[in-house]
Amino acid sequence: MKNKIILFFLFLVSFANASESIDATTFKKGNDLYNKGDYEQALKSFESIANQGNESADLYFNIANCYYKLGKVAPSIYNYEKALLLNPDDEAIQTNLSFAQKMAIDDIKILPEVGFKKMVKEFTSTFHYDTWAWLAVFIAFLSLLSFLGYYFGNTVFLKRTFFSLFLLFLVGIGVTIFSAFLQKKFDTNYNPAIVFAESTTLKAEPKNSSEDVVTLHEGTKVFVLEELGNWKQVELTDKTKAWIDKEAIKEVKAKN
Amino acid sequence: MKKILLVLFLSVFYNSISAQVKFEAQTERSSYGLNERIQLVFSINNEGDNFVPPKFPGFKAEGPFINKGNQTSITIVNGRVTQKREISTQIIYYLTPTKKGTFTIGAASIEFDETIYKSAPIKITITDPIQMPTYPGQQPTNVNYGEGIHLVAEMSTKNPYVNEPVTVIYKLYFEPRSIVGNFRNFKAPKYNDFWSQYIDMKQLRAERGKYNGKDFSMVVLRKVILYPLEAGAKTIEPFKIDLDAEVPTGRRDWFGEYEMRVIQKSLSTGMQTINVKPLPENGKPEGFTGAVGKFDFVVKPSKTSLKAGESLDLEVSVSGKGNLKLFTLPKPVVPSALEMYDPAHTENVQTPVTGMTGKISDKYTIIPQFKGKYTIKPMEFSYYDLASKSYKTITSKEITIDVAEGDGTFVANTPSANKQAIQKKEVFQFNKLKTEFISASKKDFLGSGLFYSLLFAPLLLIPIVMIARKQKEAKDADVVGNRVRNNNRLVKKYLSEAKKQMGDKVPFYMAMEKALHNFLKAKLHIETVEMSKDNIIELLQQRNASEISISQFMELMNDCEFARYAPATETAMHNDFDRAIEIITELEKQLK
Repeated sequence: MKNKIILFFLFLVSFANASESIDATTFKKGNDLYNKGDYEQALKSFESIANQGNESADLYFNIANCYYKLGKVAPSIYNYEKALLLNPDDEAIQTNLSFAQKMAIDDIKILPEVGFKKMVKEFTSTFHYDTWAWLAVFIAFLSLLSFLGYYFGNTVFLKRTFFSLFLLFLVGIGVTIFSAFLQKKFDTNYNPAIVFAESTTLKAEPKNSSEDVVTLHEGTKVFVLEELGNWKQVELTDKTKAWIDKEAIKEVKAKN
Repeated sequence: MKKILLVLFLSVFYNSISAQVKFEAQTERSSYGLNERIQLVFSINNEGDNFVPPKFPGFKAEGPFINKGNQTSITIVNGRVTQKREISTQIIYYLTPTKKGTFTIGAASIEFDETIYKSAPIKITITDPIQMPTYPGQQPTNVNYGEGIHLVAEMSTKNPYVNEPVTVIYKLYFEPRSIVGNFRNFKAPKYNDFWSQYIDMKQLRAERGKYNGKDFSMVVLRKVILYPLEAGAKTIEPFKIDLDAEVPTGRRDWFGEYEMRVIQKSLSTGMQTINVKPLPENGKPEGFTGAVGKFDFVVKPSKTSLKAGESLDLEVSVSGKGNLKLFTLPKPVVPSALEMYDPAHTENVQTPVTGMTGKISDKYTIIPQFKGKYTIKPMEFSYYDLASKSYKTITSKEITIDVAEGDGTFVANTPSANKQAIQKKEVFQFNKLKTEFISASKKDFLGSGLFYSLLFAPLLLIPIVMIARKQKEAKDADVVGNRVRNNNRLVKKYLSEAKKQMGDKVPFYMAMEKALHNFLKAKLHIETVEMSKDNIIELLQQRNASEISISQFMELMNDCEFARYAPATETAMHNDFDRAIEIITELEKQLK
């Protein structure tokens, strides 16, 4: 019985390895085609990987590069943003995104967030919320160890040291869990979308007869807040809020 | 003139009586023939300002002619001389009736000494033309003179589409024998709701033409091109002109020539209505800005590859035939990194009779700010084709502009706070060559059961550890229980054999003895050979055992030895066993 289970696991592992290597080959093939200048075919290779349910920041980056070379603004920016979601600190992605954004027509002011909320956001965004969660678990174990050290320590010095550590770790657990949930909340509320329609008019209310607010063009980034019928309420980077036709945008977090 | 004097006299007469300001309107009679001229006099017995004439419906008015009178009257009554100075003002209009009927001429007003005076309205009845008295030597007035002169507006179409050109030609027809001239008082309509353009005739030239099937001479006075701006029935005001014409009187003079007579004539084309059709809604393209005609649309950049900071011109032009001046050109949409300035608009349009032709263009100056490849989206231009009665759309090609790295000076000078300024060395990054794939459908760890169990397990372990230790301490603190447990342990260790043999005298006491020996061996680390009683006592004393315990132990050992050979009861055996337990426990404690 034991042997069978081991075999099964071995099989699983080998299978996973096999599928990974297929993806890696396709990835390499895509890069070769890209280097030759055949962006259409390179794009097809990269997208076939994505369609199989695998992803990586690099994959989306390469897809975006292909779209950029083909002169398609919206899909290019969309995939750069997707890559940035997975790897927010990558400089290559940021650089190429700024290249792609220059192809876009709208130039909307970016109003920075200020104050306490910004500080909190900066802190919580140090890690992904799952990383925060693992950190919390790790600190929980550390606090257990330090408690044991305190509880069974037989000198006053040891007891004092371990007790202070224990308190410190308890605070640590609180901070990490709080950060994890806060970061998850921020993450859920952060819903960027890219305008795909060549040009679309934003309305003050979710109906066609409403007053026009602004006209956006392909490639502009908006943040989705609400949804109602065929309309989505979005916020622009200059904090303007308006309703947009649902079909005109594509949410970056949406599955393909 | 006689009449005027009469009126003057009358008014003076009145004034002298009333001696107050009087303002009135008068005519000679209240009934005139259609062919008579009416003299209408407004008179005031003082100086007046701000005279406002009434309207003269049904009349053609000439005037005003102003007459100021100044009269001094001297009266001598019974040798007393009174001198009176009278001032009077007359405003005279000559009215020519245009139709029959009864007309009311409204009140005129005049201001004197800050008071406004109004005349009473007067009624005038116009009857059929009357036979004017003929005087010898005067030509009989022929009212039919000039009947053969016609002013006509010819329109190319009376039913155009919006923005379809309509040509209006004003023509004057007259009898070939007549001579017309001295055109004056051109009164051209304003053409509301139309875009209009005159084509002035540099020289009026008579041609032969036909009017109502008869031969006439014809002069084209003016040509106008109209573009209707909105749909609906639109009226065009009449075109009016005054002229002098030399017309034959129908008589011959002494030399047998036709006798000619110069008459003044006012001509009008009369009101005309154009029914403007709207352009069909069906199939109207989205970007339609009202262009009607036949056009060609071109979008042309001056260059497609340049350095950042240099400029290029993008010309958007429409050429062809149609309402070129009446629509707007589509605006190009460029990426924000291309700075586009307001266009220079040029029009090169001629307007012949058939409508506008030529070319209009917008020239945009574009300066790319950054290196990169930018696309200018295809532009669409739609127009309504009158020939095929359908909308046509021309789409320009997509233009790709390749911007190379500039020398940097321009980029550095541009304050663009909202743009992330790309550093000079920054280039478009190549693809990533290596990657690690993860499944796109990864489950969150945060909030999962595993997360909570891993998080709370250590925290839950803390109270468990505390409880465990508390229980252990409680156990340690239980004295009686501890003793029992300790005894049991010792019994198990040394007296288990003896317990088995309980009731069987000889083996029981042998086991007891052996057990005691074993206890000593374990506790005092001595061999069986060394076990003399003195030795044992000495060793026990050395290990701080109490005298009582030692004597009890020795006593027990002796008892065991004797009991083997003496009769012993079951009860005695139990007693000895208990004693052994007690002493071993006691010694165990003391020998620690």
